[in-house]
Amino acid sequence: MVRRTVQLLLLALFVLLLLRTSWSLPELLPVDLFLRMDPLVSSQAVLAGRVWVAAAWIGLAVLVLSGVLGRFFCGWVCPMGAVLELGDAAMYRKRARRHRRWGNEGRRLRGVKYAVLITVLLAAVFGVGLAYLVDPIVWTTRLFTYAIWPLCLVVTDLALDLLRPIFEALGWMNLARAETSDPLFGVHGLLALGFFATLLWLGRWQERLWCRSLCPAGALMAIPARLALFRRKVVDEQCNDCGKCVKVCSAGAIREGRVSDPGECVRCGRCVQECPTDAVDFRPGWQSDWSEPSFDLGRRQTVTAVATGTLGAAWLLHDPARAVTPEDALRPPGALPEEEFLATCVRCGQCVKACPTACLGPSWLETGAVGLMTPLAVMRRGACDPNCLACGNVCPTGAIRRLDAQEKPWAKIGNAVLIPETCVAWEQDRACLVCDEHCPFGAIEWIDEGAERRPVVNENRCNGCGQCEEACPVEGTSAIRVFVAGQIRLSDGSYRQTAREAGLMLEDREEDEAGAYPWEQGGGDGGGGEFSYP
Amino acid sequence: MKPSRRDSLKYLAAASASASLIGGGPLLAAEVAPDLVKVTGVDPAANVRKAVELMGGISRFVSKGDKVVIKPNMGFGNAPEKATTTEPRVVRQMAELALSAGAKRVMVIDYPCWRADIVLEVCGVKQACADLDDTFVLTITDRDFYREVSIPDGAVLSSQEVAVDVLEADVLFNLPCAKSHSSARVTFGMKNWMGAVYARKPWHTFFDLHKAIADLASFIKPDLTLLDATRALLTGGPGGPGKIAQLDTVIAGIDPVAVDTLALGLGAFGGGSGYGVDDVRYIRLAEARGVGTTAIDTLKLVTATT
Repeated sequence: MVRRTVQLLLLALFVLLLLRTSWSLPELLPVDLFLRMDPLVSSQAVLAGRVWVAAAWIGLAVLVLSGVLGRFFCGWVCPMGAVLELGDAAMYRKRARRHRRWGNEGRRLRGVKYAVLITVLLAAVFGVGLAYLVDPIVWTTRLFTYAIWPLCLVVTDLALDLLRPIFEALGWMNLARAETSDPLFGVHGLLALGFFATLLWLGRWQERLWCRSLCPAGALMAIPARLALFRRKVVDEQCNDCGKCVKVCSAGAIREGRVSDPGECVRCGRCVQECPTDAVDFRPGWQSDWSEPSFDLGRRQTVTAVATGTLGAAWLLHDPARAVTPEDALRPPGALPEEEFLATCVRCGQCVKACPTACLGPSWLETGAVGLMTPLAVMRRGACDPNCLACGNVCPTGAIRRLDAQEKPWAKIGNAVLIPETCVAWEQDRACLVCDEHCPFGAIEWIDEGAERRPVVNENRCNGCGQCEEACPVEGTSAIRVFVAGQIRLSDGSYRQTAREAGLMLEDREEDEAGAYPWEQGGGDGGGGEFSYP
Repeated sequence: MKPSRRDSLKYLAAASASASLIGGGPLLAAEVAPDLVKVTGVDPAANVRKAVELMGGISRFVSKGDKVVIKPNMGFGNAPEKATTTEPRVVRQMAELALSAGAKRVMVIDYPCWRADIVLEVCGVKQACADLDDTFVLTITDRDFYREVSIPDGAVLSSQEVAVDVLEADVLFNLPCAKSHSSARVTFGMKNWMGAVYARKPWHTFFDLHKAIADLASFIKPDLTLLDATRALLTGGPGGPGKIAQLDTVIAGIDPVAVDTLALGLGAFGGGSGYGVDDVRYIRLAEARGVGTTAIDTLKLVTATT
């Protein structure tokens, strides 16, 4: 029960860290801790992105530790493992399943996880990240971000609504006026729910079928685990061959009691606990008692995996949909150049969870199939807040660079483009400069042409944050929109320096050099622009 | 917002004024509060204390057990030094005064332009009021917290969804800051009430902005407008960045039109030679609606320094 306690506590920590994944981050632990620990996440990012990911050493440490302790991560740490175990326990009585146990006949099935691993790593070598389709931590993070979190918001909002009269009566106005963010469900939440439902359903046939046979992260950790220093030992004189351990093993790693596969064992310790003669123990040792592996990768599976990895990567990279970049496919500030970004991003959804304005959301096929589930900024839904640094701070692979407050204003997302045909100032001579009101950078100037002032964009001051696009009071599509043109995407180096060299003036105006402002060149407040729309 | 209270105060003032005419002596005459006060000094809190004292003292406005609502400008997630939001020390001092007069609770509310919870963390008002009892600094963006009310004789607005806390306040204090404003030209007291309505977009796309501001000013009548001009954002308003003038001033008055008119003279808002009262349409429109007067020369203005 020590393991179950640790497992549940770590699951709670996982959820807690995700809850705290917001624009004001806790200092104590990185909120992406579990993603960082996942060696598949970091190895894919390193291989596909061809960059050293700062957090990768944690994943590497887990791999090394697996060479000592075996697949402890699967049995003790993995939140998906915990969810599946809990689900299994709740849904299926052990007895009902026992006669359906596949035992060691499933050697071919167990090999599938290695085939999946080969596919993912090969695709990564060719520069395409596929781990997001099969990685356990990534799926669990997405389940939380896209399904459970919005559900929590709905429930919280409902509870606040119901309790409001009580809070008001008690004078607890903080609670009486408490608001939740808008819950945003989407197709990605349904996908995550469907994925977990499928895995729980597979539990009908086998306990932790996913962990035994399908999980590529488990397969990756099984490689060093096969040589694990601490391994299961059976004292021959004490063992009475009752076979109980074979039945209780959550990974199906034990054959005939005395022989077990350290690469399959998830260190749950049930065999030690349940052994009637106390014959089982985990001890340091070198020699293997497993003459042949408990899995069979097979030629056909290997060929399929290699073909899927290589051809899949080629297919995705040469998707005709990628020939044209949609002008409004905006990336978060600090996102690596598009090729590197797509290769490095593991689609975990942490940035989406952290984004306070719902500016970021997961894509569908906007940037081609290779961009599926990557974060896109939709300014009309919510602008990028100038005070927020969250998305880069929570990205486990550095696909979104970690920016500080000095660099963020210069990490230009795009340019605002005014659409005079729908702008009420241009088209209807109305008193409206809401785009200017909301612009944090002073990028909106105006010309006095009609009865009321008409806005124009100074691209050199535009950060692409989209406050204008969100706030524009025109119904439907905004009359001022941020497009990718002008975005600054850097693999490394200073945005500030690059942007300055390009002549941008994105810092607060008062910190800029004298003479740069409209009001210092005579004329009124922000006016005096030469430009006019036809 | 109970006009009756304010009106009765007016009658009281008028009564004491007439009493002094009859021969009540200089003591009573001194008690006639001015229409406008302008206080300058380096400590914003001291300016607020002096201004309220000159306006007749906090007990003129707040009675024991009152629910007080303060509406500062908390529109943008900028530090107070950027002059886009009301100076936190000004808000804090006003809340403290209300509590000292026995207010049951003080609510400091706004509907920000940028993401509300971040604005609340960054603009400094929440932190400044953190240690005050019974004081709540909140942003109100959920439609549940607004109630549709009809605007009598509105030129363009027939009804609006207004924050329930504003509607139900016993005492309403308007604490705007002094800024230029791209579409409204300036934002002082009357424009600040736009932050108490839910649907602002139609004000630009459907109504005439200036008429709408005047309509709302005829409906929401604060017990006192105290304009924070510790700094004034002369250009680039309302969101900045722009030219900031350190004025170390507060202006207070009951007549919102008069306060806005007086505030126009604080600096060259909008650059160049600044704006006159005829440059800001909503001020004239509000005056025509009987909200107040722009003829501030005829009013009693007291200036002081701290």
